[in-house]
Formats: sequence, C-alpha cells, structure tokens
Amino acid sequence: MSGHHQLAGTTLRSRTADAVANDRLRTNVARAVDRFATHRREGLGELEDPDGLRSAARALKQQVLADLPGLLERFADQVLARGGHVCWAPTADDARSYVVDVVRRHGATRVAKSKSMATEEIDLNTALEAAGAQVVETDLGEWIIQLADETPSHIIAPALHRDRHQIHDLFVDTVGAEPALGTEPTELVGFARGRLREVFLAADVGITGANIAVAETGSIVLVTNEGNGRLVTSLPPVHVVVLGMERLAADWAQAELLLALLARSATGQRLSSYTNIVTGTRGDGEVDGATELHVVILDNGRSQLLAGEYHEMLACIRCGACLNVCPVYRQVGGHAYGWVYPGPMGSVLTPLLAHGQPEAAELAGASTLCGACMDACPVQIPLQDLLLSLRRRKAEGAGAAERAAWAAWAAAWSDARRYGATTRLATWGRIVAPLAGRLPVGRSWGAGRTVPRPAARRFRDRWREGM
Amino acid sequence: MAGRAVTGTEHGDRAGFLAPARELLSGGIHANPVHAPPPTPLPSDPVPEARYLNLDPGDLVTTFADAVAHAEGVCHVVEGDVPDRLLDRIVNELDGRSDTSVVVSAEPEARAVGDRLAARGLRVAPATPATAAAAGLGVTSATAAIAATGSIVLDSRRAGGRVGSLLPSVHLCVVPVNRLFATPAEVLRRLGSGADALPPSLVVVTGPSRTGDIEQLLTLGAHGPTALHVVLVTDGQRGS
Repeated sequence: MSGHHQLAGTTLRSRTADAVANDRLRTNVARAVDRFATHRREGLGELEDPDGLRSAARALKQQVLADLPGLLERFADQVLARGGHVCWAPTADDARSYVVDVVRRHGATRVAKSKSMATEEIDLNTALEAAGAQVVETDLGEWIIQLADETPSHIIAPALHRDRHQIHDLFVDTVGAEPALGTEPTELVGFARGRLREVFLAADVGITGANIAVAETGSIVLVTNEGNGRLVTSLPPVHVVVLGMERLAADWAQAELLLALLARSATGQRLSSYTNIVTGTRGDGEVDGATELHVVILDNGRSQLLAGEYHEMLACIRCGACLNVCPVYRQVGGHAYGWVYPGPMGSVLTPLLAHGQPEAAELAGASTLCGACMDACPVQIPLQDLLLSLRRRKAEGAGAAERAAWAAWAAAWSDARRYGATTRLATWGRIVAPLAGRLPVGRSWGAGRTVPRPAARRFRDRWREGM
Repeated sequence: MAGRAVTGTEHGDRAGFLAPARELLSGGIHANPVHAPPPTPLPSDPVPEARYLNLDPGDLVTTFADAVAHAEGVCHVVEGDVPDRLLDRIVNELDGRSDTSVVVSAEPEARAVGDRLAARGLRVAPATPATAAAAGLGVTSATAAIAATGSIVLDSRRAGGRVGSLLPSVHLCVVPVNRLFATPAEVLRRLGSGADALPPSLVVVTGPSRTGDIEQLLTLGAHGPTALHVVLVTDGQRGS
C-alpha cells in the first residue's frame, strides 16, 4: 500500500499535535462532521427500523465474504459475456501496470478520473503520470486536493479541511482563476464546472472505482452526486474500473439494501443524485458510452484478511459515517492519520493492508474505543473490537521498557490500597495543574488542551464523609 | 446487439488469484466474539426491503412530487399531456440564456416534446455529445419513476445514449404515471431477471447534480444539470 507521502519525517504524535494546534483546521472539520452527522440522523430516521436493516446488511456482507471466490467468478463471467475485459490483480503493482498498459496501448494522454479510494490506495495517478498521461480528478473535492498536492482528508469529502477562502486562493494560484473570482460556493463551483467540462469532453480514457459490483448481472454501480461518474463513463471511449475484490453483492436484492443505507449514512440523502449502473459496453444505436470496458479486480492484501477476526473490515461500504462520529477524527481531521484511509475505518484497514510498514501499527492508538463508530456503521463493523485487537497485536511486539512500565501500573492499580495512594497523590496535582501548560515538560502537551485540575478532595473521601 | 456478441478477454491468473481466498475461507468465516454477528441467512432467504416512512402507499403521486422537491428537483403533475403553458414557460426561461438550443433523446415521449418546442421556434436536435454540450435544455423520458425517493430511471438503450440528461444545464424528463413505482426495491430487484434485462447504462437520478465539497454546503449544478424538471403525466386519476 502506498499513497502515504505525508508521513515523511513525522509521527502520528507529531501530526496530531500539529492538527490540534491548527484552529482553522479544527473549525473546518468540526463544521463538516456536524453537518454530516445531523443529515445522517435525519436520513436514517425516515426508514422503518434502520437498526434492523443495518443488522441485515451486516449478515448479507458476511454471506458475500464467505462466498467471495464464487461470486467473483460469476461477476467476471458476466463482465466477459458482455464484452468487458477482466484483469485479476493480486498486487497494487499488477493493477497499476495493467492500467498503464491500457492507457499506453490507446496512446492516451488525457485521463479523467471519478473519485475512487481504491485508486488512491494504489497511487495510480503517479504511475499514469510517469507513463506520460495527464490525469485529472473530476470530483470537485478530489480536484481541489489534487491541485494542492494533498491526500483526501475524508473518504467522501476529500477537501473538507479547506474553507472557501483557501479553495479560492488555490484556484488563483494553481489554475489561473482571476483573483476577482468570488468566494461564494456557487462561484467556485461554477469555475470548476467550466474547467472540468473541458476535461470530460477531451478525455481519452475514464477511470473509476466501484461502489458495488453485482455478480448476477456483471454490473458496476457508481454513486456520485456531482455527475462526474456518469460523465467519466459516458464520454471517453475507454472506461477502466478499479474494483476492490470485496465490493461484491450477489444480486440486486443485496445491492438494493446496501444502496438504501449508503447515501443516508454518508450525506443523509434518500439516494445520491446519480446511482449509475454500468453493464457492458456501448450498445448499438447509442451515441455515447465507452466502447471498451476494463475491470481490474484488486486484492492488494484483502484476501489475507478473510480468515480470522479482521474479515469484517472487508464489509466496509466507504460511507464515512464512522469518521463523522469519531471524537478523534473530529479533533484532528484526516491528514493527521497520515494515510489514505482516515478515521476509525482507516485505523483498522491501514495496518491490515500496509504490508510490513511498521508505522501503520500506531494507528490503532488513534481511538478512544468509545464505540460510536460501530453504532454509526451501516453494516455494523465492530470497529472498536478490531481496534482493540490491533492494539493487542502491537503490544505483543512492544519493547521491554514499555512492558515493564505497564506491569508496574497493573500491579499498583490491582490493589485497592495502592490505587488509593495514587489518587491521593493526584490531588496534589491541583497545585501544579494550572502551571502544567507552561512548564517545559508540559508545554507541548498543554498546547491545544485545557489541562484538567484535579479535585481538592477525592471522591472516595467525600463518599466516606457522606458527600 | 453487436456489443454483446464479442466476449471480452481475461488477463492474469484467475485460479491463482482466487486460490488464497479459497484456502483461507475453507474453515468457514470467523464470528466476532464480542459483538456477535446476526445469524447468516441461508442463500434462499430474502434480503429485507427497506420501508420508507415518507411513503404513502395510497398516494404515490403526492409522495413522488414531495420527494422530487425534497431532492431539489421540480415536479409537475399534469393530466393527459404536457400542457402548453409549461412549454411556454420553458421557452421563456431559455430566452434569457446564451445556450438556447434543445436536445432530445430517442424516446417517443421526449421527441413529442421536442417537436412542440421546435414549433415554438427553438433549435431542437437529437442528443449527441456535440449537440448536448452546447444545449441549454435536454429532454428525455424515464423507463421508471420511484415515489419514495423522488427518482427517475433513465435507460441508455431506450434513450439512445446518456448525454441528453447529462450535459445541458436544464434537464426535463417526461414520465407517464403507469411507470411510477413505490420503492427502489420494486425497480432494482427486478434487474437480475432476464438475460438482457440491463441496458449498458441505467441511471437512477434523484434531483439535479450537486456538490457539498465546499464547506458541505449544498451547491447545485456541479457537473450535470443545475435544474431538474420532472413532468409526471397522469391519466387524470390521482393516487393511481
């Protein structure tokens, strides 16, 4: 897994500290996740027994994963029967070289992309650009972060860390917008619409991901609000799909239930503006649509998760609901995590997919284990259990000093008298707490925090004295 | 269909790709011990359908009209045929624009509206990427409409393509009421039946194009149409 260039010279701790100290970032993130979370509650509230549907969705995803090899074969056969080409890509490198080959064979220089987390995961754009193609992201948020040379900070709203003024200045600095361009969202969107319309009309190849692949008909379901998914699959003569192997539904009954939950969990909409179902290539008598379709089925570490407790992470439908309710994500945004997939889903998925990259293991610490993520998840992935398990896995590899420190702590707090002694000690902290943020040792910790002041009397003393 | 006669090619090693998954799944699937999953239904068990609290099963027309508005579209419920006053209004709205031409897709309902707009002096052409890119209005018809979500379902085989509903700034879609269904399930769950049931592109459109990528504020007209007008043609008996 690549796409982690923000990591250079930083740690999760240093990135978190930077994010917490950035008030503008925190304002932008909090505003966005509050809007998403409110809309989600309203959207799911329009369904009868949404929790029952979530539970059914979890069960159907378990069933899909248990049958995955057979469903993939059925899906691939349907794609082939409808004239599409299929590439089995065990690794990110296999997927990249196949797509680069398709682009080269067509002599394509202009590639238009619709938002796809799978292509972010395999860092496809870098490979295409190295092959001489100009790649343009057409989702507005993705275009913004492409211009800024950033990775997504949210899986459905990649640029939510930027406010309108920052986007305005970016357009002026990078793509020649007039400084007089207004900062109202309608003006900024209008500018982007004009620029990206030219991209759609000129593109040689369109590249998308897939929200759902339906085995029974070999269909690709692409959900977008902007319409870029439709444009990328309608105008360029070649359409390449990069499909994570787990994104299967057996049939349209399963796909329908997932779609009923997806948009409501993501943005609160009843359905997204465009639920685009692509089945095979352009038909006779049609004036548009790709005449050549390639579906790249990507493993990149996924199949290794199928055995054991982490398989449920493969049920994720990438709605972003767990990010919006996470108290950690809310404070730091997506970039502090340092990888392509942020928030609770990213903290589980990244260490599992990041083959042998030890920095990824620390992500399991970026959680309070409060469980809000599982409560929000439309397919009820037990994210907090998986995070805890990843911490256990990491602790098993911890150094002697860390193990000794925790052993001492465990010995102290598993005895009532010793526990009482430590809480008495803590009341003395009342004196130094106001200073903690200013002492050399506490300055970096105290920045961006309100240092709590311990109570003058312990609860157990007050209880003993009748409160 | 010529596009269907040719089988695609397969690249990479299918059996080799699937072998690790087959082996790892041979022991069955793990059940989380803390938050146990619900019992996995048998393959024969139906997947439950979502039930929509905003749906009035006795009045799909009103449910649909409300849901179109909820998705920021405009719904016109008309009797018998598209009325002249609605076409006049569209002509007036186009008058003030730079892109006053109209494209129509291949469905008879869309062509009929196109002919009437041409009779009012507008430039009307069949939808192609070139004509649609320059047009202010695209006229189409839908193969189905969905009351609970206010959606219209566009079929590239019937329409002769996709761009008529995609490139012009305004999209007008005509739907006869006998194609109005209650829920997405009634439309989507039938798609698997029949070998050739699915066209190359089937799109469920719910409101105009939009983005929330700037401060999560709703902004209409990101890449597709800025406005969506749905004309639901009834036979005069509401609630059908």
